[in-house]
Amino acid sequence: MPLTDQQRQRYGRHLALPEIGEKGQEKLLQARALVVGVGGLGSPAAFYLAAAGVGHIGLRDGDAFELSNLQRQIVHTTGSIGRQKVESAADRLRELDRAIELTLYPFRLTEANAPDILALYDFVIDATDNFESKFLIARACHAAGKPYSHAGIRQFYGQTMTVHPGKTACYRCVFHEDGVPATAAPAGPIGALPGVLGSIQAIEAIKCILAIGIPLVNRLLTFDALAMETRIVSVRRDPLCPLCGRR
Amino acid sequence: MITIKLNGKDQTLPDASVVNDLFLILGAEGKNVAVVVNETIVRPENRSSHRLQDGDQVEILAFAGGG
Ligand SMILES: [Zn+2]
Repeated sequence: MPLTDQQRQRYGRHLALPEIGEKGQEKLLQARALVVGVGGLGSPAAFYLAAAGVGHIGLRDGDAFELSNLQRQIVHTTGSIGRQKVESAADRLRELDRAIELTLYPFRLTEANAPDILALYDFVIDATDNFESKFLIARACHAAGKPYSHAGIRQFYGQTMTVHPGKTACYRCVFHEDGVPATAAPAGPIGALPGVLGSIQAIEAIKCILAIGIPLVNRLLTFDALAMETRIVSVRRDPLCPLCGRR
Repeated sequence: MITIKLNGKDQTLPDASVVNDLFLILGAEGKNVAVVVNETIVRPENRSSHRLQDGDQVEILAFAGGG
């Protein structure tokens, strides 16, 4: 569908980019992205996807919003306290753009419900806050053949990697499930940290939808906020990966 | 002695060091980390036998589960 005059103005900065332009913006408007977890990472990720005009966004989170979340979960407001996170985030995204279609999943992703949900989306953003969910997303995206962006944070440190299941190194290639620490994130994090990582996830989703640039695949980006150091760690697919390995 | 790059920085080690020896040097347990040597994952069961070579690029990656 060609853009309306309103859309041409709203997305003018995108249209000026040769990598996006009108054709790319139309693609974004037709794209479907799922944000799993609408907390620290999911707030900026969902916010930027909506602002970019990704036409359909799924929001999945089973938690209610708490006062202590305000320090970093920027899609929510003080008025969100006590509400379902997906509802509160949806209100904010609708304020940004009523035209964005939203589907809300106010519950946890499980082995049972993941296949039907993932089938509806082009790209998945893992913005969850626990290892169980991260490994579940890796398994479910592998089974569904859906590209996803992993990110994880702790204290002043964050990491992110994009995965095209079966083609590039997956989350399970790098992180062995039996090495999972008892707590997902000890203390913290500093609030702006998920802002950095969640924004990278949004960019990766947009690049994937538009098939532009070089995706963050076979490379884990690590971000150390205290040292203010970014590193790119190259990793090859593990042939012995229990998930995507060739057995 | 051999010199490796550990998370981007030079690290000198005795000859015949294995991956697990790195954890002793770092004072880390090595449980909740992933290890990548020259872009290849070294799984936990191979860390006591995986010999490090001069010039190896070694990355020790923390598990970060927060969101
Ligand atoms: Zn894998």
